[in-house]
Amino acid sequence: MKTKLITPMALIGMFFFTLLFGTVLPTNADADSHRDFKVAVQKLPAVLEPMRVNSNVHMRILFNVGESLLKIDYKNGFKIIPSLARSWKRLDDRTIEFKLRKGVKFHNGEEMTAEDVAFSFGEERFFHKKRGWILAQMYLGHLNKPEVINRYTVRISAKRTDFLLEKRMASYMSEIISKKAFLAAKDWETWSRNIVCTGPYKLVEIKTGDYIKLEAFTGYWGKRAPVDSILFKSIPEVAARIAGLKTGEYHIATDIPPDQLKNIDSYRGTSTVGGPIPNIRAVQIDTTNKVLGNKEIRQALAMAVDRQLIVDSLYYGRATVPNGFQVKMSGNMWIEDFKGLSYNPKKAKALIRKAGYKGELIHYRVQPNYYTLEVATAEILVEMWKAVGLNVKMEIVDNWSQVLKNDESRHLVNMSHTAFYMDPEGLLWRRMGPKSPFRFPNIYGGKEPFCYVPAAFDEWGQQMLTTTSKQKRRQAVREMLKIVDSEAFQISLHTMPIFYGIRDEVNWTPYPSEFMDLMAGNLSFK
Amino acid sequence: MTGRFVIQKLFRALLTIWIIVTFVFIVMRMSGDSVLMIFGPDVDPNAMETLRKEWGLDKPIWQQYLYYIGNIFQGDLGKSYLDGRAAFDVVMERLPKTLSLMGVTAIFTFLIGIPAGIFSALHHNTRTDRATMTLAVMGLSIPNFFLGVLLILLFSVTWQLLPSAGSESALHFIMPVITMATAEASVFARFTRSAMLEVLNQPYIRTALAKGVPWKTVVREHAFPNAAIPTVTIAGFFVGSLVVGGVVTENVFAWPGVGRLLVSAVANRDLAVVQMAVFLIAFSMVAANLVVDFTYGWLDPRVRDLRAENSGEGT
Repeated sequence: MKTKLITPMALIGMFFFTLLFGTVLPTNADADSHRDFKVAVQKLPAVLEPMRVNSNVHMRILFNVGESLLKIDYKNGFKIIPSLARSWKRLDDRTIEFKLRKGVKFHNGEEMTAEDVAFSFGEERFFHKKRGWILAQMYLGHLNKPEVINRYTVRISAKRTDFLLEKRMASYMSEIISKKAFLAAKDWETWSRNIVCTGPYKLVEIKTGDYIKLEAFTGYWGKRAPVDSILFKSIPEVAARIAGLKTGEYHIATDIPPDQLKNIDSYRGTSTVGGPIPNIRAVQIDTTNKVLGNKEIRQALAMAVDRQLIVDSLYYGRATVPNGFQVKMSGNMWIEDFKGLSYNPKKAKALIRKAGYKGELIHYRVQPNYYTLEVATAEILVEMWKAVGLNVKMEIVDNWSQVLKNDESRHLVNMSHTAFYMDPEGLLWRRMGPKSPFRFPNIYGGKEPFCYVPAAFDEWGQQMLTTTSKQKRRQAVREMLKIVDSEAFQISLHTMPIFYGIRDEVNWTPYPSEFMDLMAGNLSFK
Repeated sequence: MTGRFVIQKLFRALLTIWIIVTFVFIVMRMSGDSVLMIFGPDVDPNAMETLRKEWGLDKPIWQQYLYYIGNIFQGDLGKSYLDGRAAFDVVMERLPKTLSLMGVTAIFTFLIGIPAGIFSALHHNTRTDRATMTLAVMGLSIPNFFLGVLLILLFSVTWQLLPSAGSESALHFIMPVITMATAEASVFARFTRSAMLEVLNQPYIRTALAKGVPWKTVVREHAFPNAAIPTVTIAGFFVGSLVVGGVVTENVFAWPGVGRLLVSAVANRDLAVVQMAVFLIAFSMVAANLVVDFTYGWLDPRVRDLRAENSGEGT
């Protein structure tokens, strides 16, 4: 029995196919025009107001739109250089007077003045308890309200000695916004999605979870942006990001896992760039239980880790082994001769024997690749610990609540620590000092904090915060690093790298930072 | 179709949606802290406390639930923690993209699956039949994420014919639609084939042929309409299956629809958005099954009579 019933169906199918796909192809031709720059990212922020978010995916985009009074010269030893302020002067150990650049325009065409600076750090934004204060307090919580001296002069002061005030005014959350545009916005949330700043690119549109579009700002005070527009497109799947890079749909693809570097480098027309940022991958130890309450066991855990092997085998040598909990970008606060707890399996075994360890189970909570290669790294660590006689069991959990949940099986968890301001204060003090979440009882359930830190650590920390002497500050940092190693409540693993896939026709240099500088001087085309 | 039958069905539909939404409400809150999920462990403890209070997460779950239900009756479905917009707006903004993908997938599913099933049935036990069914089983067996990545590798990376991800042009539809329609069309092909084979063996088909009705007319006017009844039944499941397939496919191809939104909202515990998206998905699936229920009675007089009998209104 035969029929030709299929024929009309096929015709209908062809009709719909033609109707739907008969349009002019292909869309990847956009990449031929460098004027519209496209970046494939793993994730996008939902808003751009810096005091409404606190994430690396946000930092990546923000600095192209918003500028601070000062800026960090990433290409010249991380020096602090003028930005919206043309000059600045330290009045005392806690106050700086800034002379503003004249003729700087916001994206709405208004001129930036000292009023806008004061407003950016004022009652309605930063000090508002339901707005900027929630997240920005940990960066700028010790600041006073700015003092406007005249239209182009403003003073910013801290409640205590602040060695880092210049760096703070050059970093995340110190972007200057337009007072007029802020007040014209319907509410905080609407403003957060429509910020008006002074950068070389202005925000055009945020399509949550899909894309963020920026456009070159023609009224920019500095060198004009090298491209007309930038599209940050969210492509969560790494295979699709790499495919888009190879086909030329995107000029840059971010968050490339190390195992894909060779794949991109060997493809004609693409290569990879990137390396460590000021962030250290670590294992956090809960010291409140019986086994890990013994610091010899904790030291043994730290000494059993062959960090160089992890860096070489998983990161192909493109990450680095840190000298304890410090980053090289700290400049004069980098204690070069402090090496940290290094790989020493013999000593680890001796410590285990001395501690009288009898093979008690140590739980190690791991998320499925929240951090780059988290599971692979954990598997290697478990084997390294096993090799010295420690019985560590890896447990995969789903999210941070489950990782940090304070119960009898919280022993080891993965963590990473960013050195804000590329300074020990932004890492050692922020992540291990008295205001660190790991030292707060209750916040993850239970009654005890993650770890108890000796009082000496906080005392040296106070010296680091309050001194203006570089030598005294270095001494404090050294002592704090020693305490972290001796107490071993954290194990440093390696610096965290960020890798990008890039088209060969693009000249772009990534900084040791989450920030992607797509401005004049750092982005051009061959 | 009696009034009682309709009310009964509507009541069950509402109950189903309520159970789903309540279940998701409880599970989402018990399985993770939104503040930690959104900001990670790098956030200041004071900020954590403030945000928990701000978002009402410091209250017991039952109290949060009562607020949620109370707010629904006032037309407030909550706000996204991530961008502060109404959850309703956040989800609705994504809906057109999902509907367009589902719509095109549905068209191709029907255009390929049903004719393939009929074709196979009409060539029962031939090589063509076996080849068609082998393809259908293969289509059904390949996971969406695998097929999606395979298509990207072939059509984007190797041959550079199609864009790898996104939704900007008609070309962007091709790979996601193939990914989703392959499995769906396979299901329809198998169901249609079985239904056609059953109908083709019925006495009334033999009678029609014996009366001299041309074969094409028998297939078109006697066999296919009767075979369509079980096929309509699976259309209800089809909506659910499209939604599930859409979640995976939208993520592979960065398609900015509700499925992708749901994945990121669950990962971030953006609770109001999850609730809204789940409500929408539950509503669409329940509504599709409701339509199938009603259509079934209309298509098949036997079912209609049976329902009338059960409700005491039949003869």
